[in-house]
Amino acid sequence: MGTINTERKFQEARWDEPIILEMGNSGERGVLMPSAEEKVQKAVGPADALLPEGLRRKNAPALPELSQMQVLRHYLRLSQETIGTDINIDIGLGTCTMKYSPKIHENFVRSPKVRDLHPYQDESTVQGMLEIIYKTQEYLKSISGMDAISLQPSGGSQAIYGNVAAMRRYHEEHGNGHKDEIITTILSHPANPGAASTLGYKVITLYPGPDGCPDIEALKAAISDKTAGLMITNPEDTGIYNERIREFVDLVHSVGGLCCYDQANLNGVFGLTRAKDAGFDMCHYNLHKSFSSPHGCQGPGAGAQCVTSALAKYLATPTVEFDGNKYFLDGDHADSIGKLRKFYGVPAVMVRTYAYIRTLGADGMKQIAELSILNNNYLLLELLKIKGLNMPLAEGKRRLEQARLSWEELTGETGVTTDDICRRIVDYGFQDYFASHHPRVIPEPFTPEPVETYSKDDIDEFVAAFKSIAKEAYETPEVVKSAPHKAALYTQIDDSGLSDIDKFAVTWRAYKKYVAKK
Amino acid sequence: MKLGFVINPYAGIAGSLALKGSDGSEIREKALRAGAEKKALVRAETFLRFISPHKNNLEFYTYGGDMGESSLKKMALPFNVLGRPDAPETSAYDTTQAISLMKEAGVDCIVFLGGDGTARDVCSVLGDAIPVVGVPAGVKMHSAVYAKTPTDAAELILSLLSSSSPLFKLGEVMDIDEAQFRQGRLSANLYGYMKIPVARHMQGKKSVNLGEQDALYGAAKFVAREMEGGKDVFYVVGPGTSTRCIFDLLGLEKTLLGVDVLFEGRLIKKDAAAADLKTLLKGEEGRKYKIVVTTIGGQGCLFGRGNQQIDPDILRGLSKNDIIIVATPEKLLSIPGALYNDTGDPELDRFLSGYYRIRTGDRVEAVFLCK
Repeated sequence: MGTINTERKFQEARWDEPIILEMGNSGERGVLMPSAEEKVQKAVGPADALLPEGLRRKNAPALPELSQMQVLRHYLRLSQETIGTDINIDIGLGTCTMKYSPKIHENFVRSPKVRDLHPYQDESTVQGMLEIIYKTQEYLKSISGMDAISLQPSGGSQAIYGNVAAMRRYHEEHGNGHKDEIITTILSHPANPGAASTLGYKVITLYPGPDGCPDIEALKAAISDKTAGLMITNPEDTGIYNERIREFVDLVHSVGGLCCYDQANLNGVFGLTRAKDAGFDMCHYNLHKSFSSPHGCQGPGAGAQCVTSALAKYLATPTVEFDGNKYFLDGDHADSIGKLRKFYGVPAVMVRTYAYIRTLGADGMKQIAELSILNNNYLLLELLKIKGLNMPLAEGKRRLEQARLSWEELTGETGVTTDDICRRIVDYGFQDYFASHHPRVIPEPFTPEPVETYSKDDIDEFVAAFKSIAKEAYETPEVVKSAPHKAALYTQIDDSGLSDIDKFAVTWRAYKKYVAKK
Repeated sequence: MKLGFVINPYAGIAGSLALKGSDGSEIREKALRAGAEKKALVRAETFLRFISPHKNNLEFYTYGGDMGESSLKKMALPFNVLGRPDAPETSAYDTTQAISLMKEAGVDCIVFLGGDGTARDVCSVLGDAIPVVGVPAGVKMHSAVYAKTPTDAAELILSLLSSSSPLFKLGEVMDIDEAQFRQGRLSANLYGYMKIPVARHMQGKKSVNLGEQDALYGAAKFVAREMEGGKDVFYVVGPGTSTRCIFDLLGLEKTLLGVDVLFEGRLIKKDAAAADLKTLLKGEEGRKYKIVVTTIGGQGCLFGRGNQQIDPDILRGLSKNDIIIVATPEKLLSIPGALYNDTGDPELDRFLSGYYRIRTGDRVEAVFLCK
C-alpha cells in the first residue's frame, strides 16, 4: 500500500481574473498584420471586397482587444483555477463514469492520419477511418447483442432521441398511430422523458417502491393499448439492479410496445448482461463514458444507437458497411429517421472506443464491470461508517457500480446540507460531487462512482476527506456551511437570479443589453 | 433582515402524554401536572444556535417572556420586545397580538414555533402578507408551513439572507378538531394559506431544476386543456394553490379554500357546500361530472381532509378516470408511501384505492398508489 496523504493543505490558485470581455484596451493587438504589397493590392483590390456584400459586417464586432501575452496569461490563470479529472480523484461525479482515459488514445486521435481527415473526402481516401467505425459497430453488436448499430449520434441524449424517433417510425408503419404514451421512471435520466415529450408523446412516470426499483404493479396499471414503449435504465443511479427487468419488458411487449434500455453508463453490467438477451428492442451507449474518452467539458461525446433487426431500417444514417472489398457510407434507407447531426458521427471518440475495446478484449470488458462493482462495494463499506451518512432504499441489498447516498441524518443533526458538503469537498482538492438529478427522490443526495480505474489508496483518500468533513459538520458546522475557503472561488454564488428572467443572460451581449443596464 | 420570532411555549406539551394536541388550558394543566416539559423552548434554542453566527445580519423582533424573549436572551442574541403577554400562562390571543405587532413593525419574515393551532393563529392575522417559517414544535402538524427540523428552518432563513430573488410558495394551514380527535374522530380542515420560502438547492452540473412552479404550471395547462374540451361535463374543483393555477389559466377566480364548479368553461358555483354539489350534480338523472383535486403535501390525503364538501355521496359511483389529480413530482415525493382517503366511509375508501395517473406536468403523468 502506498502513502495516502489525508492532510494535503490544498490551496487552489486564486487569481480573481476578470472575464476576458472586460479586459484590454482599444487598439491592443496580438498580431499586427502587415498591409499587402502595393502590387498585390492593385491586382486584387481591397481585401474586404473579396467577400460578397451580404457577408460583410457593417460594424466591427465588439471583441476584446489584447496582446498575445495578456491572452496567454489570462487562460493559463483560468487553467489553474480548474480541477480536471486528471488532477483529482474523480470519484464524486457519479453517473458520469469518470474512468481513466488512456493517454495513448490521444496519440491516435491527434495523429495527422486522424486529425487531418475531412468529412468531404472521397470514401476511397478514408478507408482506414471507415474500417475503424465499421469494426466498432461490429464490436458493439457483440456487446449489446443487438443486430444493427448507428454511431451517428453526438452523445447519449441524441442517441435516446434517435431511439424514440425510431420507435415512432415503427409504430407509424405498423398502424399504431394511436400509441401516444411512453413509460419511464422518475430516476431515469431526464433525456428519456425529454426525448419522448419532444417527439410528441405523453410521458408516464413510475416511482420507486421500497426495493428501490420502479413499482411493477404501477407498470401494470400504466400499460394499455396506448403504450408506445418503455424507456428504462438498469441499474438506475441508485446502483440497484432490477431483477424483474424481464417481466417489465414482457409486460410492455404484451401490449405491443417497444422497450428501450438506457445504457449511457454500461460499467455495472459490461460483459455480464446484454440488452437484447433481456428482451430489449433497443439500447444506447455513451461511448465517452463506459468506453473511455475525456468528457465533461473536456471533449466531445458520442452515442451509439443499437437496435434489433426489426428496427434496423429506422437507424440514423449514415452507417458504415463493408461489401467484402471496401468500406462505404450507407445512407440509403428510405425508412431511416435520417441524420441526427452532420456527417458520420464523432470520429475521435470512435477511435478511442475502438482502441479501448481492442486493448481490453472480451475478458477485459467483463473485468471492467467486476472491478467497478468491487470498488463501489468497498467504497460503500467505508463511506457508510461515517456518522450521518446513509443509503436509503432497499436496505441490505448490494449496489452495482454506483450508489445514491443521503446526508439527511447529518443535515438534521447539524444543519449542514449536501450542497454545503459539495462546496467543502473542493477545499480538500477534489472536484465537487454529483448530488442527483431533479427532482431529488432521495433527500440530501450524494452519488459517488469509483469506476474500475481507481485504486484502494485512491478510494481511501476519498473516504478520508468525507470523514473529515462529517466531523467538521458535527464540531464546527460553520466551516462547512461557509465553504469553499481554499478554492479559486471563495464566495458562495447567489444563483437565485437564475429563476428571474430579468437577472440572467446567456451571452455577454445579452448581459450588457438587458441585465447590466437595469 | 428584520426577523419576527415567536414561540408558543405550550406547543407540543401534551404530545408525549398522548393527549393529542395542546389546545385549551385544561389540557395544559393536565400535561404540566403529569410532568410534561416545554419542548418548544428546547427547539427554539436549536434554531437560534444555528442562526446565531449570522446575528449581525438579523434584527430580531419578539414577544415577552417564554414567547421569545427568554430564548433570545439565553442565546445572547440582541432583540426588540414588541409587547408582553398579560398573564404568565400565554394563549392564542397573545400569539395573534405578537403577530399583529410584528406586522406593524414591518418585519421581513416571521419564524414561529408551534403546531397547527399556532399556525392557525398566525395565519388568522397574517394570511399570506409576510413570509413565515414554521419550526415544528406541536403535536398536530398537518399544515404544510413547517421546515422539517429547527436546523432546516435556520437554513431557510439563511437562504433568504443570501438570495437576491428568493422564491416563495403558499403552504396549507390545516388543523383538526382536537375534541373530536380525542373521541377517535379525525376531522381536518383547511384554514388558509401562508407564504413560505422555497428551499434552494445548488444547481448540480448535470441537473437543471426547472422548479416546482414550472411543473405545476405545466400540469395546470394539461388539465385546463382537458377541461376546455369536456362537453356536458361538470368539473368539481377542490381547494388549493394547484387547482387555483388551473383557474388562473382559464381566466377564472378560484376560491382558494373552497370547492368551485365549472360547466363548459363557465364558473357556475363558487365555494359550493356539500348540499350545493348534490343539488347541482344529482338534481337530474345522468349528469356527468368529474372531480379535480390535489393532495396535501407531506400528507397524501386525497379526499376527506380539507375538501369535505366533496362528500361520499358525490364520490360514490365515480370511476377513477373521473378523478383528476394534480400534483408536482416534489409534492408526490414528500408523501410517505402512498395517497389515502378518509371519507368517513371505509367501503368507499376501499373503492377509491388503487393506482392513479396523477398530472405532474404538461402531458406528464405519474402512476401513484392510493391505499
